[in-house]
Amino acid sequence: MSTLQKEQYIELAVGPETCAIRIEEVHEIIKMLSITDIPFSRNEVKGVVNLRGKVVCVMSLRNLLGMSDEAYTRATRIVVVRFREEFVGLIVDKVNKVTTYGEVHPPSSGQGRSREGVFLGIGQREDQLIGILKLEEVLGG
Amino acid sequence: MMMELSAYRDIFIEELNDQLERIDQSLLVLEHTPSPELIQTIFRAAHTIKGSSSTMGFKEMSDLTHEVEYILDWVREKKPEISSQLIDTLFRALDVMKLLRTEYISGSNYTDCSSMVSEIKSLISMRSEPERSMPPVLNASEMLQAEEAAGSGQHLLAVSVNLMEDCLMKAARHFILVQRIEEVCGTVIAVSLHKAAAPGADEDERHGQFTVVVATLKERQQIQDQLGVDSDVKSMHIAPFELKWSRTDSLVHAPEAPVQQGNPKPDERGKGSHPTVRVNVERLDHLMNLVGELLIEQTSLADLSAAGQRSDPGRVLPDIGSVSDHMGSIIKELQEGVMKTRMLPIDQLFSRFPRLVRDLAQKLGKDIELVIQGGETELDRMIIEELSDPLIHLIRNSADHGIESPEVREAGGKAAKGRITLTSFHEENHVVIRLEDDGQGIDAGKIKALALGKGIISEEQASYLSTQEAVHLIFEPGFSTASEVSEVSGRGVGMDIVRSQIGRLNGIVDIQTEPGQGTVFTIRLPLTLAIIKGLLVKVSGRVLILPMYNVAEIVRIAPEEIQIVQGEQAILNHGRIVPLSWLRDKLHYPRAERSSKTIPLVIVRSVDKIAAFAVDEIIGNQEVVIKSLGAYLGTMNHLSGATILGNGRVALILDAAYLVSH
Repeated sequence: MSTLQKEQYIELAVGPETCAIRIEEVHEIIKMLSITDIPFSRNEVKGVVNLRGKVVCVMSLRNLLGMSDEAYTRATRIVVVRFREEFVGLIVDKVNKVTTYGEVHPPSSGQGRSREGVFLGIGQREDQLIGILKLEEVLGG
Repeated sequence: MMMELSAYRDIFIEELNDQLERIDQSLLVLEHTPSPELIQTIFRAAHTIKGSSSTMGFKEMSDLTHEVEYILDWVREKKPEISSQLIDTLFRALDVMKLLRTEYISGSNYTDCSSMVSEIKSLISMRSEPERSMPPVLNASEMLQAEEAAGSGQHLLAVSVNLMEDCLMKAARHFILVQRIEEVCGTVIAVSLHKAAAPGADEDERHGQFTVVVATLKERQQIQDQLGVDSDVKSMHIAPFELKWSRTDSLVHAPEAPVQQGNPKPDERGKGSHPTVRVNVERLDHLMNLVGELLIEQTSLADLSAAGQRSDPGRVLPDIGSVSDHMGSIIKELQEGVMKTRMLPIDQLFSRFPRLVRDLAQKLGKDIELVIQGGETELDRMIIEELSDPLIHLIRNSADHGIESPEVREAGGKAAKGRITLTSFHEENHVVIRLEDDGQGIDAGKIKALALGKGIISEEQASYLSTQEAVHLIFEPGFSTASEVSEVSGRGVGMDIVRSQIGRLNGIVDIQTEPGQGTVFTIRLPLTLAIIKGLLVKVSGRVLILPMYNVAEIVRIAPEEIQIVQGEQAILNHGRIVPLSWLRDKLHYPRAERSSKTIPLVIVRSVDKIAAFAVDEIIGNQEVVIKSLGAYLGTMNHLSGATILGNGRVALILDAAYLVSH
């Protein structure tokens, strides 16, 4: 867990939750763009956007974490991450800050938790706990 | 060492392809019209392959080409009649070479080609010459010496000596004989042993056969007499030594150079293969010039920007406009230029077919000639590669099902020799490939009955299928017109593949057939896959693109023109029934309010199917750059990609083949 402690994270809000993505997995954060929807795609696929000439697929992180969609606001952002040698955009309600955690706990398991395996670990800063997302699981699962 | 060589790997493969192609073509011609030039061409190609593959440490290939080269040399020297056995052996050797090439590229293990090698060897020994006498090869300094000697009026002779098998101390005997020859003739230029050095081989035994190249003023007969007969010498042969041609040889052979050992493992070779492109230097220069022009325009834009900041920006605006126009035209030319670097003459593909037809004809016991026209037509290299399989299937079908046996043809008043014509030409914005045969044509009734029997169509469907529609049934999966599965035409998967492959290339296929007269397949393809002309349409507030190649027609109809045929919407278009669907329903888009009284329709064609799609609005057509949707989305059969519009938004490009068949 020691390597997870030294790393920097992007902290973001998704519905009532706050979670984090390792900064090295993040390519950039952009404001909401007009999205072209794709017929016959999975529900969590919101469509494609033009990222400076590249066509990038954007997903709803809310949907990926089992929440329903909400209308986009001025705070809505697309977090573009690198995933399997491609860029994929994640729509989040808000991006809070770049941060580090003093302590990272292993993810809790068992007890029939709905999102088992989605988190790499639980970061702790003072008395706040933030789940660190495991992109391989969130996007690839 | 291997690492450095791997950089040349792609070039090597490219060259190998070229040379194999050359051998292929020359062999085909040689079969009918033997000529020394063709032998020479094949010899040179084999020689080049041998040289480059031994440099690449590709021993299997260099061994094989060495034999091919040897047999050709023998043909060139002895001028025997070019037998079909010889041609066949050469063709089979070529096949092994192609196989080796494929294995080299894929990095798999090599097929053992030693049987091929020995087959070629036996072909020569069967004819004559119990012993192989290799013309001695001179190295550079020996060359020079020989040239000098020849220049000073001496002539060059090759004295080949064959010692008795039971002669003891052959090496010593060899040494003495060489000295004797020197005494008698004059200058010894080179001595070469016939047997190559091999680890473990008896060194002494190697000296049993050798050739001495000498420069002398004496005549052949004179030398023969003076050398006399030695009890240890089984035979001695004196022949004039021709300098010229061992020269080309020696440059590449360098027999004294250590044979490259240590073949890289096949899996090492397979790595990192990137297709390379050969581009005409003129085309590259042209691109370079255009880039230069762009730079100049950019400078003037910078100047104008500076001028605008100094004074009134409004005054430089017209100038900026004209610079922009000029830049636009340069970019357009640049785009065309870059596209052209991707273009190849379709001959690259067509040239593979004469061999195919020859083999097919032989296998089927038919007499078939292949006529190729318009091989210079240029097409995107990717399309050319993708076209190979469908065309092979079509040619096979023409040869197998189309062309009749010579007896049937003659009985029907046709020439015994069947003819398959392959033509290619540009037509507007696409390339047309036409495959024509003068065979028996396709019997629509027979097709219908077969499709019915196989359950591809129902009795009811069969009753109202037109002749043309029935003929198109051959594209249905699982259909095969050959009553028995033949080795040539396969198992009825061919035509199905033809349709899907051509559909993937945004192509269209037409069949015209005349019973007893023949069949014509017409394939229309876009020039390139990277940039296409697209029709922009609006559906439920979204802009969608349909490839123009697949747009047969745009019409506006009144709602009452929509008819219900067998429970499905359809329209009558040029007298044919065309199924109609609403694009928004097809793509599950929400319904949008429509105001206009007429409905714009796009009639889409793909391969052999046609369908009409109602849209909300036709925007117009423009060139669009096709961008991939990426792998993350997974397979999207209904889309062939996306593009970015002028307003920065992404628009989806619909797949015509999907639209018409789903």
